[in-house]
Amino acid sequence: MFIQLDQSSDMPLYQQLRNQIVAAIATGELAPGDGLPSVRTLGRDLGINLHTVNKAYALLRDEGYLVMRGRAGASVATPPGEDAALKRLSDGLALLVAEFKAAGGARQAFEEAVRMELDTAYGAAAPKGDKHDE
Amino acid sequence: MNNLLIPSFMVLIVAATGILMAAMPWLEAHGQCFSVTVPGAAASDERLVALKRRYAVTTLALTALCSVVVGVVFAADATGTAGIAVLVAASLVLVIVPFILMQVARGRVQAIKATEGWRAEHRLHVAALGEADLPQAVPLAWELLHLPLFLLVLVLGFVLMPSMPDRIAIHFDLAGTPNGWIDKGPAVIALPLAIMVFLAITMAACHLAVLRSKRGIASDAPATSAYGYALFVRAQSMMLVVLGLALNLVLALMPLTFAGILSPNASFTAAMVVAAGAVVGCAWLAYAYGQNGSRAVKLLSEREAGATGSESLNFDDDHFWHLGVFYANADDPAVVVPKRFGIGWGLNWARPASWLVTLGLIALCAALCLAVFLLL
Repeated sequence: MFIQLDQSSDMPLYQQLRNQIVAAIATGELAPGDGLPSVRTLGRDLGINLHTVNKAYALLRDEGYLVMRGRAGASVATPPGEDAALKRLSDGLALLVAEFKAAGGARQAFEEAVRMELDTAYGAAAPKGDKHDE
Repeated sequence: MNNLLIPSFMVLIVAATGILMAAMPWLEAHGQCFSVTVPGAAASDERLVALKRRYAVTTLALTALCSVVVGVVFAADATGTAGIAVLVAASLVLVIVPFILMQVARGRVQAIKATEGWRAEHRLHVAALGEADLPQAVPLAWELLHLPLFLLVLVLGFVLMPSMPDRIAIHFDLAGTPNGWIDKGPAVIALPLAIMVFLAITMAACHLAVLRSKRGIASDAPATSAYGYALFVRAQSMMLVVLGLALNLVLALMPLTFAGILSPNASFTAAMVVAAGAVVGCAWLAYAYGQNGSRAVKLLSEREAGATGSESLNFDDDHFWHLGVFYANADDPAVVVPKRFGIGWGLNWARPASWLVTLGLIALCAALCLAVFLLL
């Protein structure tokens, strides 16, 4: 699983790093219990300041995506569950919808966009009535 | 001693050095040409290929000349005194001149790069998160195998001390004639031991550096280049361990030579075999793997070279590479980084740790010289 940070982007590096790790957890490339490289190793490989990596890891810890296991370093946390996930979603969702509508977006376009992202993360939804395993 | 063995061996060393220098443009990591970052597709640009050929041909011609001179001098002078001086001169020439040629070529590549407008649109930093499924380097713990060898030289030294002459020849010219002696005593064991300890520390330090290096991954082909790099590190770490142990084994057997059980000839031959193996082995590694494993894994851009390969760059840190070979980037936490024009690793001179490490190695050399001086 590869991290690609773009220094020429507007988004701060630590934010990009945090986002990519979250995305990796979502796609399953990082599973609960998987170890992450130490701050020093990742900073060295990426060639970026250790503070930047520390910030990203700290953010991920606070958000509950990572746990620190002392000497063993950081590893992916077990997902806190749907309640915590829903709480996190509603925090950001209201803003996303408001921004979209304020920019003149239609409801259907938003629903389409949501569906596409969900398909990417969860795999295409099965037609109604089909028995599918996850 | 077979009077062609030594000249042949010396010629081998000189030729291998020169050939490796000549081949370097083809051994560079993906996306580099004479230590200038170029798009993958540019690898087949005929101007760049012509520059590589010209550099190689000149270097090979120089290598041939130096090899002949070295061979002739060693064949003519059995003691090797003149030969060693010529060997050192030839080695210097074969490093300095290709370096100058490389600078010239590098300048031309930079000019072409400017003309073609090959510029990095982004500044991508890439790293691997999981590495469990990649080939692993040989663990540092293997260096502990040097300890039994220290024990071996101590045991052999003590056991064989009674059968050693009162004045022991410890230095010979290349004809096998002794030209340096020490008195029998603890120095006879301490001397090989000091050299062995120095060698073990140096090899272990190099091994550690390889393990702690920034990993050389190409941002436009992260998975393949990560795999290639892992193969490269595994091979190089294996070479370090094997070479270090082989050299120290030869040194550990020195008491046998002092006691007259092994002839100096046999000792020389063993040392030369190990050294020849090292030179040939490292050259083969360089050819088979290339820098950062770039030859072990065919990278996408090169397969598409000339056809649809992209001409844009993801990342360009040329300005941190002074003269194309000295890396200095204060924002980069890495102390050890893969070399640009060359096989292996170098230091990030913007980190104080690099200077400390260098001073430490120099101090280690000084300590060895002091130890030898005090023992003799």
